[in-house]
Amino acid sequence: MQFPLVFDRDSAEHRMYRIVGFAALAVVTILLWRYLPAFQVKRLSRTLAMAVAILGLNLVVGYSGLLALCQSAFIALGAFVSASLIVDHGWDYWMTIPMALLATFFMGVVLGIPALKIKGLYLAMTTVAFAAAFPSITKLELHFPPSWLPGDFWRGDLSIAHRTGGANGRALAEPNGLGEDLTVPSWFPWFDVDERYAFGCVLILAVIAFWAVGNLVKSRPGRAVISIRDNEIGAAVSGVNLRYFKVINFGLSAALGGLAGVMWAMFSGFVAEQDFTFILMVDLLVGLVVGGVGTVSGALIGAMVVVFGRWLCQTYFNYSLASIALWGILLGFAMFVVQRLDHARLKMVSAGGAVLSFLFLVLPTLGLNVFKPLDGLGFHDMGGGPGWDWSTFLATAVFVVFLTIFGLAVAGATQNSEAITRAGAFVGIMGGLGGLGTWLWAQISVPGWLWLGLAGIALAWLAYGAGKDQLVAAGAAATTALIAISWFQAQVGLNGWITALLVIALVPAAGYYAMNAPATIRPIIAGAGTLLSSILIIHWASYRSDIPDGLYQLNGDGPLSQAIFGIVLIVVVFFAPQGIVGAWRKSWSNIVQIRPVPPALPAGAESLSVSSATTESTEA
Amino acid sequence: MTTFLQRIIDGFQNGAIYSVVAIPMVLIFKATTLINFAQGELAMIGAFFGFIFATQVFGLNVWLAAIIAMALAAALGMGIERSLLRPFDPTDHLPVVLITLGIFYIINAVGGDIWNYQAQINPPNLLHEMPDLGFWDIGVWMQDQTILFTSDTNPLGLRIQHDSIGLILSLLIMLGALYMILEKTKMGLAFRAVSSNTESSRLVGIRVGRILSFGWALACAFGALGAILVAPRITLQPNMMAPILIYALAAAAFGGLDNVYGAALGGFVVGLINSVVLGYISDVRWLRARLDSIGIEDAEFVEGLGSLTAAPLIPPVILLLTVLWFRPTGLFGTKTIARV
Repeated sequence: MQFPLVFDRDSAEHRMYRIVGFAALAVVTILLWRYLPAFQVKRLSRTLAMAVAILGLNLVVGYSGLLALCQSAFIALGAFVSASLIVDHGWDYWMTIPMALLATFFMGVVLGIPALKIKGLYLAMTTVAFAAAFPSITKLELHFPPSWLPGDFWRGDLSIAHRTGGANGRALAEPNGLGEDLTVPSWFPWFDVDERYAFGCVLILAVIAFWAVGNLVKSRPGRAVISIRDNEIGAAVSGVNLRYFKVINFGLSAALGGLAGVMWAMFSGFVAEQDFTFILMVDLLVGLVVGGVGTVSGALIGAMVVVFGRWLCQTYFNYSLASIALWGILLGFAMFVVQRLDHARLKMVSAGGAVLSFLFLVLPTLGLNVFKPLDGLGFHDMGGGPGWDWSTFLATAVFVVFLTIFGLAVAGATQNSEAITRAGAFVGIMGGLGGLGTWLWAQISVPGWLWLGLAGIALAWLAYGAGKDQLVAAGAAATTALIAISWFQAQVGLNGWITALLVIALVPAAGYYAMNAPATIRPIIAGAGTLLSSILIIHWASYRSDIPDGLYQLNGDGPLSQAIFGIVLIVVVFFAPQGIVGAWRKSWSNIVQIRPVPPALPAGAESLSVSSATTESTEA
Repeated sequence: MTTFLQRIIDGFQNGAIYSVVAIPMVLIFKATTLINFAQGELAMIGAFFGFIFATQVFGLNVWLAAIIAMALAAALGMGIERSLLRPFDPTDHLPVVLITLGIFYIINAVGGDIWNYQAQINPPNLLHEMPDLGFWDIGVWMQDQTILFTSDTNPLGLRIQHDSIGLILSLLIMLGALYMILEKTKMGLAFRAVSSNTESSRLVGIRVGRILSFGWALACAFGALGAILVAPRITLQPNMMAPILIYALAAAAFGGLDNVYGAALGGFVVGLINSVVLGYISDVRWLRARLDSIGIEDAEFVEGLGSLTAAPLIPPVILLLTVLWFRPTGLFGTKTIARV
């Protein structure tokens, strides 16, 4: 078989290809649905709700290019409308869906009209402010709908704070008049009502939403919206009604957020304003960017990354700050080596990496648990539901990964291909030195200042290679001088003004000296300066009694996962702006390509030579 | 009348805080034409630098600690600009917004992890540690001047917080310094040239990259000083700037994103609107009397409006929407004209 396979769009092969793809997705979904532990199924439901919300965000940010960052408010509105109608008015779930969609669509249109005038960054800041302010709106005691409104349809005479539960949130699990549990809709009475059942209900809505949006963006209105993003004036000239399409698109995006809110209420059975803060908005943005801006399937992938990534961060990530620094340095070192060395030396590096990774990665996981690197890696107490042994599963997965690392390093050392050697050297350095470092870590509790200092030395060395050593040396020298003076002042009790004079005189002098020192001395200054200043910093900064031995442990949940999300956001925007879907499409095109087929020409018209030219280039 | 004056004064007191965050945001917009959503967090980390050097670890003189904190914050700002934002095209808004949001997230989380989202006791207070110049002890002098206003029994019967006079004065001094830097120095001239037309300034030999770094450094140093000044009033903790960011956005948009003095004015306007509007609305007795006089006698409605104090972010959002609806580039901002 010859790769890449080339299919004509909408040919029989292409249809078969798509059917196989969707069937595989369906099989995976059903397997996960059936065999994952219940708390993970709930996480899957959350993923689907997030995916629909990201899809809506994508309509505005990705397809029409407007920076509207208030999707979390629309989710909140949908969730609260649904919750209030169910609990206060006794509606059924399916009846609340159109109401939530209408309410959020209306609100989207109302916000979309100012968005016609407010452009670019001004729109971003307005919507950010709105998203930040929305949770506090739910605490208002104002009556809604207001009592001066005519008619008494769904009146209830309740305040906003009562409908939303205010700061306490609203539980949907209150029994209704019949004593039924309302946590999930009772659409299919022949199933047990539990997390798996809720996932089924959420899945139906998500499939409908994805199908609808997938077709919408390919339709005539969808193309009109994309043309507005690409060139607004051009679109207007071509007859696209800018106002109409922008506002309706805004409304549709908001309605998708509302649908996500209803799904949220369905699977969680509890809605509270604390869930819909600006943090949720940034999570949605991370999902959007990681999945791929302007792609439909990216929404699902991004949502999976966000939901399961946060869970992984919170549960299993127990590294210390210094060990994160270590991995960062290792990455930089490996990239540096792989770029700099020639093929023959890379082979030697691969061989070394293979030996190290065999000793410190493969051997321990084989059951010869001599070095116990797994403890250092943080895979402990995997938990999981009954009948599901996470620890065995993950240990097997880890073993497979380690074996792959070892195999790649061996291949790099033995094969003649440049690319394989480079990959083998890279993986070998990361795996071998990482395993060695982890082992060292477990053996001797290395004080934090040493890691920071080593980081400084490695940084200095990298900078030396990259020709930026002047800057690093100057910075290290200036920092050391500053901290040394501060230390001196604290010890001796120097007058503050004299200290200020000392700082003003000595810090720039140290930086200047380091910058103009001979090239051979500069890396030494940089490394020694970082080591010295990190000793001083850690020594005097160990004011926190809970820092063991100056080793700074990061807390797994809350702040850390937030920081990691921030880093992921920046790294993805920086290095992979096309997102996972974009990268996947690029690499998958080596295996399968879909060739666009020009529309059939009217009878008698001559075929253009352009089409044959494209065919040739695709095959080449 | 006294109540009204009191609310005006409260508005000015809070407005100074909003200006302090809004002004650096405008400086950064002028330099790199992006909205720095991380500005509040950069200022927060600046305040914590000051706290570390003054109290927590080293016990330096408060003013020296403030200078060190400003230098560190400036270095941090320059580093962020050079490494994370320089590679992007500022006219493509999505990446730069995402980057600044990511920085916001990271700084907030790291701060929260180190200081546990708890308010620190005794943040450094610059205004309490004024230097004694020998012939003139500024600290004692300020105490003497403000004691007249800060006691409850002053002639007007108004409550003026001890620090807020100093805060507003420092804000004015900082604005003056900023004016001197931007209008009277060569660096400031280059900065204004770059913010007005990057391409032309490159052509006349201005090193644009350095000017961008300079703008960020200036903004972050200014923000750090401002945060150190306001920290004693709004408690020093990693989330201290999160609500203020929204007010600051409203203030910056009110004055126009590229007008420093407009942002300072906008801060005061936002502070005044918040304190006057929320003050009167939450005053149930006053509100009921007014509504009665125009024929609305809905007790529940009045109570409901009173609950607006629980949602203090709503007035700035409404202000933001209103101002931008009528003047899409703020009151004093430069109008942009799109070319086909």
